[in-house]
Amino acid sequence: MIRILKISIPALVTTLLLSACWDQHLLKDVKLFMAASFDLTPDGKILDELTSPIINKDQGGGTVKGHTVTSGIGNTPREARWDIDRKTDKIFEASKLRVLIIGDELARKDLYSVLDLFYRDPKSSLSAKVVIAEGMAKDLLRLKTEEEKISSYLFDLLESQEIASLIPEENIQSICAEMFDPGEDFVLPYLRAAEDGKTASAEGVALFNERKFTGRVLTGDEAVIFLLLDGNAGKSPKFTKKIVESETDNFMPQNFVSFNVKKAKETLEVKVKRQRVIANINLSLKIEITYYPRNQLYKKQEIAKLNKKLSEMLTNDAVAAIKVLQEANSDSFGIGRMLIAHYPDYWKQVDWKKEYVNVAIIPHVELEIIGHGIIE
Amino acid sequence: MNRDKEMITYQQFFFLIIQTQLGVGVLSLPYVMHNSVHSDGWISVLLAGLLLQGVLFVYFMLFKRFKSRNILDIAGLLFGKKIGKLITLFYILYFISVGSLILVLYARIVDRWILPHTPNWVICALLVVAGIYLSVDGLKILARFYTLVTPLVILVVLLVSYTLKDANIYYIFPIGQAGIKNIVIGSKDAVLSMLGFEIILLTFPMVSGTNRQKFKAVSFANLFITILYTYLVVVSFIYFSPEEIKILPEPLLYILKSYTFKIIERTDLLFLSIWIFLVFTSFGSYLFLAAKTGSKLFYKIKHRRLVYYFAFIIFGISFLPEFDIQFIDYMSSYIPKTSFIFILFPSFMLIVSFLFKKSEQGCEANDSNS
Repeated sequence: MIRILKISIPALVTTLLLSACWDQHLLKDVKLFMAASFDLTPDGKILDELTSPIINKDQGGGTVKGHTVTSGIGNTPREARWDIDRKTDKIFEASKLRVLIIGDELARKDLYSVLDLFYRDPKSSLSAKVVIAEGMAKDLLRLKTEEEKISSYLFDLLESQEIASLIPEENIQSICAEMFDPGEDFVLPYLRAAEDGKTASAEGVALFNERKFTGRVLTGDEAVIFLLLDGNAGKSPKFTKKIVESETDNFMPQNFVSFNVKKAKETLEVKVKRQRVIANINLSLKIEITYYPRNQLYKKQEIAKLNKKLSEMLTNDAVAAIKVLQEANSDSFGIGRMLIAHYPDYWKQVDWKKEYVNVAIIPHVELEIIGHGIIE
Repeated sequence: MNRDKEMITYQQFFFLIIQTQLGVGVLSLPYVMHNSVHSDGWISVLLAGLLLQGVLFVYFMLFKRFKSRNILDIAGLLFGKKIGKLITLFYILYFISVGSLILVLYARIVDRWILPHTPNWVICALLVVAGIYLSVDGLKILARFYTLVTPLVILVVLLVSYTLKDANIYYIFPIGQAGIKNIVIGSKDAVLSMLGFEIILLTFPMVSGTNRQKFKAVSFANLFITILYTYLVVVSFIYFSPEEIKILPEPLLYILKSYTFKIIERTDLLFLSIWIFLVFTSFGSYLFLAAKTGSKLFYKIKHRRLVYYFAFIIFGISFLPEFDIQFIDYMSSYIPKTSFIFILFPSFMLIVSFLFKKSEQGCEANDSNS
């Protein structure tokens, strides 16, 4: 009898304790939101909107049937979240968040104060993508897309453009290190909602200075070349370049060439000479032609000519992108970090935020055609 | 008790040491090191490993002079029975307080990261019950279990290494910015994170093999821990920027929080579950040590009983932070500090044994003469 007790009492006690009933999270008690937006209202409060999928409860598992959008207002993001909880039957949980959209006005104030609640909560999902919206972020959440879920629409849009390297691949955690670092600034994707309220489009790279959005955005080829120079590019960056100047504005597709970047390698060298910082960025690209109606690629000198021409054009794009970066005072190459690492004495005496504009950042793009599809 | 039953091999000895050393502290090690030495913390860890090797050598010298005796027997021989008992009592108190510190810190991290609503006493009770189960049956079981769970350390390293793809090596440059003085002072904190090697003091005679083999096992354990800690510190330092790490008390957990794999949504939880094993083994070791030391003092009570008693005491101490949250800070600042006395005391004993030319043979001769 005693032996049975000796075994059964611990067994009973541990089953009670191990089930951890205090911390159970039942899916029926919470509502998971997949996308959220934060905006600044005109009276200086924070407007938080969440979208969560509506699950159809029928036999054989739930199917998604559209989504709901709920909004709340408060002095802080947390208070806004509580305001939302007051209006809904269930508690919202951030553990499955995939896309976080910040309105452009709010991002100009201070991004960290918005993200603090995500960093602090052990349950939040730090791998959610952060994007900056042109105008109000909530417009993006309220798009009437063809897809059932706005969150997956936005997520897929971001993902595809990350591969095309128009926008950087960043999440809540990945920007944190740079947000705190005095020697480096971060960048985020920039989205715009179309006029018709049905689609969104990725515009480019939003530039930040410390914790604030500078208001400057790199778009088009400048965004792509910037991400390549930063070593942050996606799998297949694409360019279309006009290689022959024409007099007329008519349809002249043979003046253009399109190519994908297959391999990219960038090196950043930072030197201090006579109290002046010089940064050399060398980028070597291996590309594949994807569109070239003049089809003369069987000629050696034609390839060499094209290599040279395109290298020049991309270097010009890089110069233009860097000019915008310096005007925005956004050190996203981390030149300051290189100074801390290699020239600590110089770093201590310099006011980096003022000096950054005067830094000579010299890009040099070297391009080589390694492929041309299945015809020459 | 049958002596053979208690003996472990020197290979097991290696696992015993590293599992006792790896524990609660490993999660916050980069934070602690950054607090004291900034980005050069990893150099301090290397330095601490070197210093420890010196300490270990002292232990080795001591055990060479007194074969098949543990530290408490030696204390008895050197200082006489009464003082020896007093020293034993202090060692009991020390092991109990380290055990309760482990428990309290463990409960705090679990409470913060996974189970915020579960009462802390439940979290503690589960570890204590498991700890009793582990340490009640003697050293051999302990060593075998530790050997079994050591592969988990590889998993820890792999998980942490995955984050290297987003790291920025320039965060730890310029090397040596904290200055040599700070690096040396900081190695004190690093030594504290390596606590657990005291288990050698009591278990050295319980290991089979020559002294040389045992010392080799000890040195390899030290090398392993030093390299592992340096690696973990460096990875956190190059993943988080220097300003960011200041606000992250558990950098090694935070580092994994943002990574999502196909099947695993929250990698930090997976990491925590592995880490619980590391804590569990350290806790088990200290409970065992307390009971083992206790059996010298209360030789009438069986080891098994002592484990129960001490576990109960440790569990009781873990309630103190419930009354006053400050207590946790007192514990985590004073207990490691006093531990220096306990890890350095053997070197004092070595000096005494040199001065009075006492060694095992000499003492026994004296005993038989008197």
